[in-house]
Amino acid sequence: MPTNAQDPDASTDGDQLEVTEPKDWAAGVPAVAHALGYSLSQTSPTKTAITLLTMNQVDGIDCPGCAWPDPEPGKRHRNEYCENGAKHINDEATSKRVTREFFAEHPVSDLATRSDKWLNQQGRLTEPMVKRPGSDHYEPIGWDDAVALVAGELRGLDSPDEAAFYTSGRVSNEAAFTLGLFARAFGTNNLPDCSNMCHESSGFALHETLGTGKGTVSLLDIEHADLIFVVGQNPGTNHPRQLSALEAAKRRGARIIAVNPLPEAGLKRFKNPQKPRGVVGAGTEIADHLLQVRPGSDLALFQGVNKLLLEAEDHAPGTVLDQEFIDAATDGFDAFAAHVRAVDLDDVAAQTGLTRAELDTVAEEVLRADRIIVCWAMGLTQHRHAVPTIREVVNFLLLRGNVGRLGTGACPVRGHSNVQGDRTMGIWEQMPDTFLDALQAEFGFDPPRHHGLDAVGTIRAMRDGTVKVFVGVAGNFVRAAPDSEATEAAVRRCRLTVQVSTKLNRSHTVCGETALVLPVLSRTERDRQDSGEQGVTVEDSMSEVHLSRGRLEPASPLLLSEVAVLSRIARATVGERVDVDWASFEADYGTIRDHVSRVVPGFHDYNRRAAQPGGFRLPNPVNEGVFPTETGNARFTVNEGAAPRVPAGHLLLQTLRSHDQWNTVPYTDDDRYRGIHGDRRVVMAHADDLADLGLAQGDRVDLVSVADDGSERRAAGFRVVPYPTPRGSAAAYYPETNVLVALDDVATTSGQPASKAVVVRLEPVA
Amino acid sequence: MAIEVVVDVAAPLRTTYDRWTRFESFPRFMPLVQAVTQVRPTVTRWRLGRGPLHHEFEAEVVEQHPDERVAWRSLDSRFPHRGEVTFAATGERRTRVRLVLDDDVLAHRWSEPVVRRLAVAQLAAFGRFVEGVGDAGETWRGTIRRGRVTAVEKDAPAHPGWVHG
Repeated sequence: MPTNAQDPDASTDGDQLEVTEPKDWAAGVPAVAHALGYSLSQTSPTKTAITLLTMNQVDGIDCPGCAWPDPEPGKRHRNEYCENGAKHINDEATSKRVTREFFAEHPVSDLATRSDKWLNQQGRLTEPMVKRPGSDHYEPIGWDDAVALVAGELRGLDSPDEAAFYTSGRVSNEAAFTLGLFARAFGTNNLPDCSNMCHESSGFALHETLGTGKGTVSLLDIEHADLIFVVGQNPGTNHPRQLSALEAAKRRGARIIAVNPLPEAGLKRFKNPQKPRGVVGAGTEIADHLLQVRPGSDLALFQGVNKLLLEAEDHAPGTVLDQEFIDAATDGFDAFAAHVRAVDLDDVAAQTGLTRAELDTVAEEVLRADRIIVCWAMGLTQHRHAVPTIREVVNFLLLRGNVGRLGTGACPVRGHSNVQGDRTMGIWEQMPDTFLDALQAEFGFDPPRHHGLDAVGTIRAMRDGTVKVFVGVAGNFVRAAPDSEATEAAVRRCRLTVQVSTKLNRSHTVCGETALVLPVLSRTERDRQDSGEQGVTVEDSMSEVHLSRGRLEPASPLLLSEVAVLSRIARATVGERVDVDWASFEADYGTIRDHVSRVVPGFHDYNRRAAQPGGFRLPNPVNEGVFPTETGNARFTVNEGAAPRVPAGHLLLQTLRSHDQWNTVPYTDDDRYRGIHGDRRVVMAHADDLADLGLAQGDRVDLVSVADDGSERRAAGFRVVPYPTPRGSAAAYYPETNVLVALDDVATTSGQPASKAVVVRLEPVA
Repeated sequence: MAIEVVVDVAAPLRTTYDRWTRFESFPRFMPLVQAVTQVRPTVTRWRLGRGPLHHEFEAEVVEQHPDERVAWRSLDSRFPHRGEVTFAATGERRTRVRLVLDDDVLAHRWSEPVVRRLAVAQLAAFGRFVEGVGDAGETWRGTIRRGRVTAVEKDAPAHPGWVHG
């Protein structure tokens, strides 16, 4: 049975674990205090002020912390950020530095034993470093040599498909477009990106049923909805600014239904630190109903609700369904209706863990609401049946015409500021011919047409030795990926791994034969190029594109921008092969935007429109009356699927973030909303399940997962914490538990790892 | 309370209708309107005011039928109201424009004569504008029913149409 021999977190002995009552409210003054406290521990008061006051303001810094959009210019608060964003930005703007002396002192093998938190705490990378074959240390290398090394390795491959280029959501539109162009000029579509692990399921489901893979909802819609579902999402920790929008909606009379296995604080009550009622008062109750469903039972829930709506229409024809819309603009209704009518509501209750009365309540709320929005995140996307589940959510919205009108729509909430923009710029291994044709017309070379590898595909290829060079731009691939043991072994097989990063993380310590660390400017820093200071653009969850300009001095004089690094590597690798003026990209990002304006639909006049206050919005065709699906109509679908069967003595585990954590980076060990302090290696489960298993709070267990193919994986040394999870389920933090998620246990159609549905048992250890 | 105002415009039906749907041009003839943004086909954002005093709100177009009528509801929480304007050709180059403003809030906050005077003035200003400016050029000729775009005469705007993860 595989063990995580080199697990960096195994050193925690858990003596610091302290469990308190979970909170039932989120944000408030403590959020501000925590944000300031963390910020001041990382940087100076001046830097803190500069970053916080310019964050998310017009012509300011776009917070990389999440993709929740900014209000219209003029409607933004002076402090338009949340606790997580503040920490994130100031974490990037830290005064601490990782120097060549640090690397001389810490061999790579030592760094590989360190925790994610410790690595992140060491500070900003300051100069390019290389680890040569056979060496256990990173040593300094000049930029020209580093670029030549990468180009040499790439040119030495037998096929361009032996390289893979990974993008994470911090990467700006300009850098993403440059990377995609370079990869295709080089000859490959191997462009895995963090979306593959995040909202890939949403993209596929929405694209098939509505004709657009993006959300159809803007802040305006949230303001004018009557009923908002928040499903499989924890805004209190991951999108706190969404709570402000939900609060405003509630005060206008909207109702909110939260669907989540855990009773998260942010769903219950929000104390807005920007408003007196949030500082001294009780705040605003957010969810009118909190449905604590079993993980993965959302498909059953929505099918049950859809059935109740059809029955209500039978009893009072013409009052429930938007028949005019269904007849004029959809297809597939009859097959869908027949299927859903056959659903057994007792089955739905059993699968979800809800009562029939709770299901009826949801239907009643829906019938009272003219305009409905459904927001969701990983609770829906990280399951094997994620795509059918999200398609069923679309069925639900279509029934009463809840797409294409103000206050209605589908709202997948993304967790990284430019994950949507990267995809728009062409970072996808399956870009359509229309895009590739446009690239060809603009740049005069033939881009490869065969699809490339996504994240899971790349891991398999590295494991099998068919991908030999891995370039990661931003992010922390090794920790974001599933099946940590297999992923790390695969990465170590590479001839060359390159990480283009701002801070140290585990991906720098799990290396190929040769490894490069290429440090770059962060979002908060001034980006000076030949033509002057540059701004970059990003696209938020609601398809708004705007400029971000850094204000702080760079952490080191040796940093380059992401665009500069990628342009130089491109020039050195394919310079004579394609007629692209890479140097002009680096000198003036407006050049890149000009190219984009001719390649990506919707980006005409890119430079001028990006410079407008607030930027510009990419229109969503659904709101323009168009469903660009295969049939030209919105599509009802027939959907089946369920969470995996959990054998006796096992639980269904969801991996999740703690508070004070941003994606793979924990800032502290304090999950204060859940009342868990001092230790991240904890597993939360219902007290009755624990009693059945003979376990009590504080007991130490190993988590052993059982994959679909029967293989087992172990995460050692976790403390048991009784927590109000639904019976039969458990929860634990990632990335520590990514080791339990089997590489092949992915969602159908989208290939997204099913990280919220891991069958586990808890094995007591002494 | 309902207020009805009528104006006869010396311009063809289509020109008159098309001019009304170019909401972003309203500041050109309505002094109280500082700016209008067409956020999407069914939503406009209005900025009213004079000098430093201004008030912003959105309006939803609930019905739009080319050469026939436009109906909207304002989403202003302080002054919500509904309105509808209809167009009928009364000659080859004559169009009757009828504006109906309807809401109980108007009755409470403002006196009817004041609102009527304002409505008459704004509609007359619109009429003069259409007569002076003439052809509206290329406009959006879609249909909106119950707040939803149901037909477009042109293609939808360009958008990146591939799967987004």
